[in-house]
Amino acid sequence: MGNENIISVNNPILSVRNLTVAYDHVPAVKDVTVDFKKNSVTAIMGPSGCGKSTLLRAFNRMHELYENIETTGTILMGDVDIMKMPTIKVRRRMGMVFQRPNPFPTMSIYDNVISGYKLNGIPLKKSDKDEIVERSLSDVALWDEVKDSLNKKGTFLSGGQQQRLCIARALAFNPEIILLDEPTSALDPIATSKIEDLVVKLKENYTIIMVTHNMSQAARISDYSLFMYLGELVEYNKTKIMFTNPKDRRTEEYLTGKFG
Amino acid sequence: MSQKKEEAIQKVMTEFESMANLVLSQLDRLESFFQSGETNLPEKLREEFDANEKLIDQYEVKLSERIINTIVLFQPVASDIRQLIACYRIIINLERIGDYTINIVKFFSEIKNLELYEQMIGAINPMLITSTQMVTKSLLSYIHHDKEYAIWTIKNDDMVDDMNRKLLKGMVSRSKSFDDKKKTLISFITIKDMMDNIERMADHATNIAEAAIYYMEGKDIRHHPLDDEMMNINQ
Repeated sequence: MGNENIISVNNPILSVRNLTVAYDHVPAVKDVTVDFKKNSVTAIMGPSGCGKSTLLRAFNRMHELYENIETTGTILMGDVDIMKMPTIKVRRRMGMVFQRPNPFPTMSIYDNVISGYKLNGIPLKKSDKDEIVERSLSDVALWDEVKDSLNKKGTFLSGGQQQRLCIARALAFNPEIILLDEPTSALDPIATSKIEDLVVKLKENYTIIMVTHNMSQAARISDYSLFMYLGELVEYNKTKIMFTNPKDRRTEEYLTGKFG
Repeated sequence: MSQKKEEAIQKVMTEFESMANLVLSQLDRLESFFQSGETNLPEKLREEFDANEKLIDQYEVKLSERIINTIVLFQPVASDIRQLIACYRIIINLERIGDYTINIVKFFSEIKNLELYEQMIGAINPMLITSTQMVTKSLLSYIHHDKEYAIWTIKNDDMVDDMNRKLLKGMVSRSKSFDDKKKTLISFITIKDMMDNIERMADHATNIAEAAIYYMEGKDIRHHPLDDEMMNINQ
């Protein structure tokens, strides 16, 4: 990959090449090239404003919603360039969960889970809907807690449960990759711990790419870590190596609290 | 949070340097006594050795706890965690070096054949001096991030092993000339024990140097020969 501080991985599920994202012609992500390994958890870290969330949102083409954001470069899922895929297909294959839990307030728990199908006009039989709801809620360890109250509003749940509901909503489409943008920063420690356990469990079947401000969290649950600074990808390596022996001085200084 | 972490690590290092200085002062005292050629250790000196040994043991316990607390409370990573883990490894070795110093001090009173001892002291002294230098340089390599000192220490371990073997052979050949076999045998065993303790000090100095390299470079070189780049240092 040219930069010796960025490792290569075999059979990546997502390959990013020369990705640049600019707001009003000002690059916020600069020429990023990186591969993400299948069935792993990758933590994207860096100081505020370094481009972490901008990078993450480029993966499922969220920037296309805004006219002043320009994205260049290539993002491949397998051999397919996602820039040439219909966005609905991209977002089915890559689910996104945001920092603040955001279940649709007017919908029930049941309807929240299958909302993606409904909002995109994808018809489903009742039995299929039931199966998707149960599977998705089971995958996030929420089924037993809510199976007798599926008709209640999603906002009826606690913060941690709401976030798990949002993850279930992403899983309903059977994505290959789940993008998490600081998924626990609005949650209490117990809820955070449950989400972290869930992330580790989910990687058996999905690939997780997660932005986090919490270095301890990255150390606890990620397999790979990616450090960004001022829009650049500075270092990418296995988490245990990054956290014990970072190669770049900037990574070392960030991890040891000299800045950030 | 970062400042508190820095302060905590600094406290560890300050206490570590106190422990290191104490061990080095013990070795200094031991060297001076060897050079005197005496075998009768003055009571006052013996008490100093014992008192300092107790302090070294206390340092090991206190420092271990301080290091663990620092890791638990501040969750250091990168060079910070390597510094603390290296320190933890080093204090274990320092405590052992302290034990060997006391062992050697005790052996003086068990030497019965003074003639044999006087013949051997000229060869034991360089071995002790080299081992002490290894301990000093390995500690300095950690404290001052000096890779050259660490490599020098590791390379000299073989030299001390060699000295030990040659001294043993020398002792055996010399002992044939002595008539009083029992005294000679006891002294032989005692002097051999002294040399073994000196040789083990050198081994622990090597361990300290390896821990220093782990801290500086994140490489664990224990049980591995030095790579080409390291072999060329000090050439």
